[in-house]
This record gives sequence, structure tokens and C-alpha cells, in this order.
Amino acid sequence: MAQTSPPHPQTQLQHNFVLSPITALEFYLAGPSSSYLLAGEDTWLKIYDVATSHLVNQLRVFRSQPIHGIHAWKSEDGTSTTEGAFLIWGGQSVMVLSPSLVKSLIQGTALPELPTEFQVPDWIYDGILFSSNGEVQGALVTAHNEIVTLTLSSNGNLFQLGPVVSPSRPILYSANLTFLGNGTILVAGGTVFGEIIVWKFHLDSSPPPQWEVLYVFTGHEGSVFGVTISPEIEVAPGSKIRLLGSCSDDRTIRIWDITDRQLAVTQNGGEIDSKTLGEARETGFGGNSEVKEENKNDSTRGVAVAMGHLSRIWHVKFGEYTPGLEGPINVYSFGEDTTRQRWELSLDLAGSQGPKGALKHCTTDSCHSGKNIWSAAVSNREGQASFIATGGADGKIVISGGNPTPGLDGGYEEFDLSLAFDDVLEQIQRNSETPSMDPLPKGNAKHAFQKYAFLSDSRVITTTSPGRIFAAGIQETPKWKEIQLPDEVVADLRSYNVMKSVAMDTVVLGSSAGNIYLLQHGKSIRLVGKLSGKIQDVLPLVGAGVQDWQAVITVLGDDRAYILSYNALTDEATIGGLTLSLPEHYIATAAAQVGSTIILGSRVGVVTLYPPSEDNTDTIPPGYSCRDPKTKDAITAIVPLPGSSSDFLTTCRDGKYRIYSLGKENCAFTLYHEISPPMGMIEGAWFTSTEKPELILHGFKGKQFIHYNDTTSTVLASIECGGAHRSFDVISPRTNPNAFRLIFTKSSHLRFYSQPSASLRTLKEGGHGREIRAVACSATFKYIATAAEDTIIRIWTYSPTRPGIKCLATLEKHSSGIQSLQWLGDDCLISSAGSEELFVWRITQIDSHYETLAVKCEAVWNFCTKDKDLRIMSFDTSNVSSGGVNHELAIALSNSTVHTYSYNPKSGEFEFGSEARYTGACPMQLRYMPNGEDIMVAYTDGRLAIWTRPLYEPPPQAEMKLANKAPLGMGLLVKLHQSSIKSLDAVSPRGGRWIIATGGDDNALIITELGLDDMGKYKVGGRYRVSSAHGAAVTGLRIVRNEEDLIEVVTVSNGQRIKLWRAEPGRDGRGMRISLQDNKYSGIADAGDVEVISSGKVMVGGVGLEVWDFNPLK
Amino acid sequence: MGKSSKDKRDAYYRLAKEQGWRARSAFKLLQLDEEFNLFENVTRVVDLCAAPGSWSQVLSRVLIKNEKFGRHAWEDREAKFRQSMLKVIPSESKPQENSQQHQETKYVEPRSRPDVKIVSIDLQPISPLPGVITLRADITHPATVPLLLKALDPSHDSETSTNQQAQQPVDLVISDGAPDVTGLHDLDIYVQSQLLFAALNLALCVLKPGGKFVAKIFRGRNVDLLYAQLKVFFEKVNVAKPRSSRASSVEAFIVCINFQPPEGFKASLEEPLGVGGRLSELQQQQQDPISQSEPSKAGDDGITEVILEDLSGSDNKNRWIAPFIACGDLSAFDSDASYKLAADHVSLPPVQPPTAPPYKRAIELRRQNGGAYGKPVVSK
Repeated sequence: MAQTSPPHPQTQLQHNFVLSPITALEFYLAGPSSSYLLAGEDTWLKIYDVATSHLVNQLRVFRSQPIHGIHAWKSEDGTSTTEGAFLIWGGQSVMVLSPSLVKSLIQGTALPELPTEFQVPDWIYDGILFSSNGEVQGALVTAHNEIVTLTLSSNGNLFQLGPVVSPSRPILYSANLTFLGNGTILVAGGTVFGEIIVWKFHLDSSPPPQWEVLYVFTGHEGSVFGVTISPEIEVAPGSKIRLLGSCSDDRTIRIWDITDRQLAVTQNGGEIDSKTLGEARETGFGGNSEVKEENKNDSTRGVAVAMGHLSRIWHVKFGEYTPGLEGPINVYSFGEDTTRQRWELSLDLAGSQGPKGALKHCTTDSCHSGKNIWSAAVSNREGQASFIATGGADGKIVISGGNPTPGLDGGYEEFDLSLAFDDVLEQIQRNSETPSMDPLPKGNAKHAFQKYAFLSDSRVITTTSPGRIFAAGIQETPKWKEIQLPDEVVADLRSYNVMKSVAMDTVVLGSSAGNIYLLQHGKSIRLVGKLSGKIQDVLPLVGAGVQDWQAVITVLGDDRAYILSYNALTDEATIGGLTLSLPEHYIATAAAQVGSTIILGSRVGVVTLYPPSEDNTDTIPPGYSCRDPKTKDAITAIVPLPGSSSDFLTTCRDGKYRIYSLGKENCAFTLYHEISPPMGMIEGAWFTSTEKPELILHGFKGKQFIHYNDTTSTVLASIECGGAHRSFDVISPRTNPNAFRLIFTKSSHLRFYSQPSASLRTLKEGGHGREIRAVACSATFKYIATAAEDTIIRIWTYSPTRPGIKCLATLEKHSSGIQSLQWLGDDCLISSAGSEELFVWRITQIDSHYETLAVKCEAVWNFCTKDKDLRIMSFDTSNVSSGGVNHELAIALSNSTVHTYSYNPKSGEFEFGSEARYTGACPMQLRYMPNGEDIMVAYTDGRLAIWTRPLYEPPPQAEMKLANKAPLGMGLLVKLHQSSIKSLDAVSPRGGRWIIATGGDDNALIITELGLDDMGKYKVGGRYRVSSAHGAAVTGLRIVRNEEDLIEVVTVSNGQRIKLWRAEPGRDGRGMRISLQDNKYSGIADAGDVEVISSGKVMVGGVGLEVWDFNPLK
Repeated sequence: MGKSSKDKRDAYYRLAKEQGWRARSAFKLLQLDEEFNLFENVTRVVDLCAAPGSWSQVLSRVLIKNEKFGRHAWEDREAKFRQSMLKVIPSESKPQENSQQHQETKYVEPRSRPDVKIVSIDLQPISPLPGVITLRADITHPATVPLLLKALDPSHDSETSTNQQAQQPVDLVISDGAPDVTGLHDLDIYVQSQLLFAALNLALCVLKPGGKFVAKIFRGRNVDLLYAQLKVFFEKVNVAKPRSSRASSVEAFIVCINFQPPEGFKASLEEPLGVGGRLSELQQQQQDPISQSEPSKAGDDGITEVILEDLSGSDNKNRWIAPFIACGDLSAFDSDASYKLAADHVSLPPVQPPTAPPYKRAIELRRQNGGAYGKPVVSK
């Protein structure tokens, strides 16, 4: 070590970016037209403009405590005002942001100093600000059913906490507060044991504080996770009721009547106090079949019960209602299953026992990925539709509702019609001016709708079994008319026809007699040709042209397909000028033109090229033809990628879409991208014509029809249609996929659905919905891959400017939690998981206007055991390749074995090399040593083994076999930790010596020096331990700096601290000095991994992800 | 996934069924005892959050029936063989440390310890166990104290006695209680800490000076605050992880030895610790701050313990990290590993079926209505 080198400055960690669960949401309605959504993400308050989705501002509120709740001060009439302050809490911390601070936040002006963070004696579940006697005050309710009052100073800052008051102290899972006026606060608490306590607290009473218990509701059979007090609802002039909503572990939502009718059960020191809540009370679940005498009245206050959600229900909220109760009251519930459900509560007020009612289930919207909606807010503003916002464990914020903004939505109306055949006939007869055709008789049960096609945004057409054609122009609602057809056309189209929309205002029809008709809006139908047999299908040639369009016509049993060409200048359509010779038994189901090549897709998943014929013949023979080995399902669409003359996308009924690229001279194509979006069958795809094109898909998922934006991973519409295999057509404005129309047949009715905008809007993008287990960065820091318990891998890019990280691709193929990830260069990613899954992914950047990463699974490790129930805990690839191209790969299985393989990226095949079996302890980490031969493995028993093998000389005849078959033997075994080694990294800093850093379940950080002895055997130089490096298991570790005379290590832990350590040789050159350079709160719970993502930056993955800078202290 | 796949994935699940334990957690207590001699000179024990009763079952079999359980109960013979083959453990000729107390006696003449008293409390009913008094009560509730005192000492009169301190205290209080986790880590850690405090508050009422306290803890955010708080009452506080507890779980056990209540301290469930400022006042009164560099148990293993230079300037006030001790011998089955079962392996039914979850009715109703994807039930 050089004596002259100046001392290294201390290294510091700085928080850079966080994506974590949204744990608090609140609406802040600042004025008649400006609405903001306040969100709590880790320690940060984020303010979004509801109209534009823009992040207005953000503020780090607490030092080391996530925000659990936000309350925006509301004036007497329930609306928040510009005068409003924010009350923010999390854990035991509380802070009030004064009106002037709020104003600066919204306007983006310089912020005054952050106010003091106060600590309450217990965990906070809810808080409110209110105005009493002209002063703004506050109150909090804690997890032990206690009220803590807050006094504010004249400048609006929190000044002091009041005494703690409670009628009884059961442990709660939820609580809600409402200010009643006259210095009274209404408190509702849901207990761990399924009870609900409703009580009143009198603020201004002289000490001791006065309270009265109103009700104790029993009925829930599990912990009460959510309680909410409704505003006072006017049911008749002068008559008001107040309701309480609750939701529970028992999967029920309950509504209770808590209208104050002077039925208070007990007051301070009252007789019932000790009886109701004291020692006589049987505690715990289940045994409460006996309702106590004093609670008998309470049971009559149960208004309605409903069962919903597939798992636990976290929140229930009241939504909009019509004063006077002319309509139902909207109730929303939010659950672990990531759905938001809407219910309609109808009330019957006539009974003597108080209001009774029913909850009717209306809609279920799946809002988030993974699990859990952790926060929800519903805006209630008189005369306006509610906004509903949800925040997930995935860090995403989804919003819906509000009044639609006219003009912004592409002009589509909102309707959902279901019409019987006779209903349409009725309309036609009413609307038609000069009927020249005989009206069809009503009441014929055999009359049916057959095919649908949109002529344009505002015009749709349907063929029918009697051979007649109906069209509807859409102005607010569809107005049906009949298209005038000659009798012979009606006869020709009767009982069988095919119809496709091929261009603006144009459809092509085919009949069983082989006739091809062209029907253009405003023109009479015309026959454009006749083919030799029954017309099987009309396939628009996608990408061929807009004005001068083309279509491929297929004929039943014909070995050729015919090109129909339209010339806009001459208004002529010609058929059969060009034909495509079909392979045997080929049924074409999709067609497109990419560059000058025509591509067909078949009913069994074959894609066939028709390169332009060189010798100008009329019949083009099929060129290269290929079926994806994994599918036998129909290709439903072929779409050229925008701005590319060689790449195209196919959609398939197997639920996948694929992107291929044409090879040189268009003689072949290669698969680049294969993805399963969340639908079972994809029926079509298109790209928006926006500046950055987005991919829009539609298809079926179970009984739903799904309209999906794949670029933003957003379900734009989900309509119950009864399932696949039915006639339908869809349309959207090319620039606005949120507006959408769908027409289809259901139960012999015509259903026509139209939406001006998607019901759900993503206000903020999220990430994984479960714990991240691995973070890996590609060789040149180009891509970051994260993998989680939700079985999903995401690929991101990082940019230092907002929003920090951007998700480029989502890989869904694993079926169990992912354990490990690793890149080979920038274009190959390997992932391992439980259920013996190890996949190799190939990543390519597509050269088109459509910005996406192409990803395909190139290989699947297939040496599985019979039951496939081992986990692949870890793996590594060797830097030494076998046979020039093959990669050496070692995997660690949960049955205490390590296997090596040779992987051939060309064939996607693995060849077994050798096996090393340990004691039975589970391997946790695996690394190749720098020689590319020996393998370092860390186990649950705290030991590190190095498996070595003798020099391998493959047998001379075995040139095809490339795997290293030399047996693995234990070269070194060293005890490091007391139990599991949870994290490991290694570097070779200088001449033949390695430094290994490990983090254990035993809270320790250990630095091990490793060298070789004279015999070339591994030898431990020294082991240096920091015993209590963290308060909990050290679950992630990375050596971030490796220099001549020091290394630096970043560690993360379940204790939610991120630490940076420096290890350098001891002062006299012997031993090792270890110093803690920095120690910061990390917002990532259950951290699983930490990785360097660019120079001076690390990413932490766990419950969410975080980016930290590490730099020399200035 | 076959019926026996859980037997493969979880060796202790299989062993518990084979050895008649109500739950696999019995091995956690046995392995804690092996390390800490928890049951040494112990006759009076309180088991909190006991259902389904596997810890009480251990107490009953050890203290009442005088059965002995040593390593052989959870030893993986094959692992032991492979360990000596791979030289993971010293060869058999060397004397093994600490093994004297754990003679692997297969049979000991049943002779119960005198005056054994075991009281188990849970919210859920516990099936009867020989020599164990079971109470169904909420450990967080003040009303539970007189109930417990009465069970420990039948002459205790809760009407006249306002004292919540046991007249005949116990030697050991154990608690394996954990909430159903929600997934919101912050909240789960809080609720678990409240269960721990509830157990501690009861323990403070019934534990005799010098007594021991063992409880489940989640090693998550701010666990170092909790450790420091427990240190107010006990001479030694360790955090232990038995080999039968999964490495992937945040669960660990706090083992507190030698109960030394601060001078003038009076336990009361009316004024419990865990909420409010009482505990931090006690911490202030503590004379010497706890030093982090307490000699850890390890160190004789040839690893150099580094004297850390802390340059981070972070505030460690009221924080202390309890020494970690892994327990359960190396030859113990690994709760994270997958095991191969014998070809003729028969998967046994569990000793006790799990208690009905609160959503049982929801599942039944859903089934009646056409399965998980049936329409949600709406009732009046």
C-alpha cells in the first residue's frame, strides 16, 4: 500500500429515487375546477393535479417513517379550501402543514422551513382537522382507541399534543373520525376481534374529558380492517341519517345505522362501561354467539351485509348519492385482491326498526398488479361525480370518475345497448323515409344478426340471416336504417355471408355463391367479381395502402387466394389480377404487406411469406413458411411495425403476440419478441398514430372482452360478452385508444357498447406488486432487470431526471417466486425460480418508431425432477466459454446440490456437466471463481464452500460434447456465519487474492480474504467480522468500490437501513480496518437485493425499489 | 403438487407429524432449550398465545412426563454422515461441546418434577394437555391478569387484591404469538410488537426475579429499539434463530435471561408498557447506557471481531442490537432445504387440523355459488 497516497474522503449515501407502496391518498379540492390528489409514498408527500396527472410537487415529510394517512382540512360544508392545511401521519409521527406551506407547495414557490415532527404515544390510524370556536384544531385516533387532540399555533403549525382519552383500550385494526360540530368528535374503531366501537368525544369539556360510548357492534367474524363514517345523508326534508361502513377479514362489507337518536348507551363512569368493555367481556373471536343485553339494540342497527372480494377487504368508502335518496348510495370497497368494487346501497326507511337496506354489487375493477390496495380516496362534492383513487403495493395510483371533459375524448358517446332483432326492425320502420324494400316481418325467431363492421367512427353496419343489411349512424345513440339492396343480392347474402371493413367508409362482402360485393357509404352496393366457390373470408391486407387498399379473398377448398385491389382514382375494384398459391390444407386467417412482401397467417399458427414475384407472373408461390412450435392456434392479425419495412407483429388465439423481423431478401423471418398480455385470446392489434405509437390489443379473457393498451399495460375496457367465438367488431380513434366502441352478438341480441374514455386512468406508473427478490444490471448499465415474488420480471432504464426509472418490458412466464437474475452482456438475461424453472431470455432493440424492447424466452432448462418441486436458489455463468460459443453455467438447487451445464445459445440446449452434493443444507448463493472453473457456494449453515475440479480433457471422440465432465470436489470449506448466508459479493483486488464480503441472517457482515497456497490450493487469509452490522438479517450486499488499498460495501437489511462500509488494511499493514461510512433509513421493507446500476448509484429492491447515490463527502 | 410435497419442502412439518407434535413450532422451543437450557430448574411456566398448543405440549412432555428430547429428535442422519465425510464438523473422536447435558437417552423413568404448574392462555380454544391449565382469554386485556393469578395460585382473590403482582411467581414465560400478517410490513411489525409487549406486561406481573422470558419477534424496522427496551428488565437479552425457523422468515425469538425489574417498578396492565412514555422514562433512569460492543458468543471460532469505527454520525440513542445466536445443531434438518422422501413414504395427516379461519363462511358460500369465480353473494 502506497504510503504517499492522500487519505480517501469519507463516502456518503444520498437518497435519489423511490418507488414504493402508496400508503395514503386524499383529495384536495382547492377550487371549483382545481382538484389535487395527495399521495403518501414512503416518507414523501406527492401532490398530483387530477386533471393533467402531473406531479405538482413533492415533499419529504418524515425523516424515517412512511406516511400512513393524509387529511386535507375541509371547511364546514365538507369541501376543502385554499385556506386548508394538511394533517399528515405515519406510525407514531404526526405533522401539520400550514396553509402557507400548502400554498407554496401547490404554486411551486420557495418552501418555508419544514415544521416539527411530533411523536404520539401510540400508532395513529386516523386524524382530522376542524374548526371549533373559530380556531383550527385537530384530533388523532390511535391503535388503542384513544383520542389525542392537537393544538395549532396562530400561524397554523402544530403546537402541542393534548392528553390521551379513551373509554376502553382494545387493540384496533382500523378507526375513523368525524367532527360533529359543537366541540364533538365521533369516533369509530374496528377491533382485531371483529367488534366495532362507536363513541363520542367532547372537546371543550373541562377536565376530566367527557366521552360517551354510543354502540358496540358485533357481527363480523374476523378482524375489522376498515371503518368509515358517512356524512349526514338527507333522506327527506329535515330528516337525516348517518351510516357506518365496515369491512373485515370475514370478506363481508357491513353497513350500520349510527344516526344519533339520543340512544347513548353509556357515559363516563356509567354502570355499563365496566360491563360492556371491562372484565366480564368474553374476548377473542368466534365465541360471541351470546349478545350482551346492552348490545341487543345494536344488532337492529345493522342495515345491510354483502360478501365480496376473493380475499381480505382493506377499506370501505361512501361515494356519491342523490340528496333525498332518490337513487342509491354508492359504496366502494378495496381489497387484497387489488380490485375496487362498487356497490349500490338502497335503503328502506319505512320499518319501525330503523333503516334496512341491501347492497347490490355493480362493478369490479382490477386496478393494480400483485396484491393489495393499500390506500383509497373518494371525493365527495355536492353536485359532482365522485373521483375514486386507489394506491397499490405496486406503487401505482389509479383514478376514475369525475365528470367527463367534453371535447377531449374523441367524440365517442357513453352508451351500452342491447337490442333484439325486432327492436332494430321497429327503429328502421320508424326512421326510414322512403322504404323501397318490403319491410321484414317481426316476430320471426329465426332472424339473427350475422356480421358486424364499422364503416367509420360514427357508422356501423350489420348483415342478417334474411340477407338484409342494416346500418346505424351514431349521433348520441345509434339510429338504425336499412341499406337498400336489389332482391338478387338479398337472396345471395341470405343465410351465409362474410363482411369486413377494409377502408374508411368501405366494406367488402362475400357470399356462398362466390360473389364479392363492395359497399361504400353513400353509394349503392356493387358486385366486383365472382370466384369459383363459397367465399371463406375477406382479409384486409394491412399496411398495403389507405386510399388504394387491397384485400385477400379466400375461397373454400381453393388452393389459391385472390387479391382484391381498389384504385381510388378510377374508383375501380379488380379481383384476381394477382393470386397467392396456398400450401396444402391452408386456411388463411390474417394478411399484411410488409415492405413489398405479402404475409399470410393460418388457422393453425403458420406464418407464410410471399415475396414479390420476379418474373411478373400472376400467381405467387409461397416462400418461407414457419409455425411457432408452441402454438396450433389461429393467427388473428398481422401488423407491420410503424416506421419499419422489415418488422411485423402477429397476434394469436394462444394469447400471445409475437414480433418477427424479415431477413435479407425477405426469404425468412426471425422471432424477436413473444409476450402474453393479460388475455386468453388476442383477436386484433393496431398502433396509435400518435407521435410515439402505442400498441393496442383486443381479445377475450374468460367471459370478458378486453381492450388493452400494451404499451402502458392498461386495461382500457373490460366488457362482459359471454366468451369468445362470436361476431364482433371494434373501433377507436387512431389517436385516442381510450375512446372505444364494440358491437357484438350476445344471446341473439345485438349489444352495442361505447365509451368516451377508459374508466380507469393511471395517474402514476407502478412496479412490482410483490417483494422484489433480485436486481441485476446489464454489462454496460443499459438495462436493469428486477424480479419479484409476483413471478414477474421487469426491465427498466434509469435516467437521472424524473421519473427516474422507466419500465421497458414485463416478462411473464415464471410460475413461482423468482430467486435469482443475471445478465450476459446487454442482450441476454437468465432467471431462476422455484418449481425448477430457469429461463434464458434474449433481448433486442427493435428498429421501428414503436419504442419497445423485444424479448423472447430463448431456452428453458429441462433437467427437472419428476415433481418439479425444487427451487433453483442461485446460479452463475462462467467467464470461460466451452467450445468457443457455449456458456458454462452452474446452478444451486434447494436439495443441497450444485449442477454444472454447458449452454448452447444457438440451439438453446443444455448439456449436463457434473454435480456437487453438500450436507443437506440449502445453498443460498453461488459464484464462479475468476478462473471460470471453480464454484463458490454459500449455504444456510453459514459455511462457504469452494468446489474445484481437476483439469478436464474431453475424450477425443467427444467433439460434440462440450460440458466439463470432471467431477467436482470440495476445495475449501470455511465457516463464516452462524446461520444462512443471505448475501455475497466477491472481487479480486490484487495479485491472486480475493476478497469476499458476506451478509448473514445473524446480522453480521464478514470480510474474508482468500488466497492460494504453494500447492495452488485455496487458503483463507483472514476473516473479519462486524457482528451487529445491522439490527436484522443482512439481505443484500454489493461491493461498490474496489481499489488498490480499499473496498467499499453497501449492505441492506430487513431492518430498513442502508449502510456503506469501508474495509482497508490495518494500520500496520496487518489485519483489517472496517469503518461505517454512512447509515441511512431505507424505505424498502423486506429488502432482497442491492445492485450497482451506474457509476456511483445503487438500486435496492424489496417492497418497492430505491436508488441511492454514493459519493465522496464534500 | 402431490400430498407429500409439503413433507419434502418442509422437513419439520413431516417430523412434527411423525413425532406427534401439534405444530412444527414445537421444534423451535426444543432447539431454543437446547441452546439456552430454558427448562433448567423450571417448574412454573406460563405459555401465552399458545394455540394450537405445541409449545404447551413441549412443556407437558418435558416437565410433567419428564421426557427428554435431544438432537436425535431433529437430527438428519444423512446430513451428519455427509458432514463428517466432507469434514464440515470435527470428527467423531473429538468431544462435542455442550453435549453432556443432552444425553440421547431414549427412555427415562417417568418421574415428574415436583410442583409443576403450567398455565396456557390463548384466544382460541386449546385441546386439553396433561398437567396444563388452559385459559381462553386476550393477553392484552387487564381482566386477564386476575384470571392468570387465580390459575397460578387458587387462593388468589381478585376481589380483595388490587395487586397485579403474583404472590407465587413463575420461572419462565414463553410466547409464540404472531398476528395474521397483512403484508403492510410497518403495520405487521407494530402489531407483533404489541403482542410482544402484551406478553411482556403479563410476564412482568408473574415472573420471579431471575426468571426467563422467551417470545417471538419480527426482525424488521426499529427492532433495535425493542431490544433496548427489553434490556431494561433483563440482564441478558439475545435474539435466537432456531434451525427449524425458516431463514426466509423475519421471525426470530427473543431470549431474555435473569429478570431484574428496575428499582421501584410495579407492573400493571392498567398502565401497560408498549404505548405511552413509561418505558422511555425507565430507559432514561437506566444508569449506564448499553454498550453495543458486548462480547458476543462467537469469537472463539477464529473469526476476528473488528472494532468498528462508526463515521456515519447516525443517532443510535435508545437503540441496541441484541447478540444473535443460531440454535439447533448443525446436523439438524434444514428448514429451507428440500428433502428426498423414501419411496414408501406415507404422508401422515396433521396431528391437529388448523383452526377455522374467519373467512370460512365466505369460502363455503362461494362454493355454493359456483366456485371462486362465481357471482359475489349479496344478502339482505
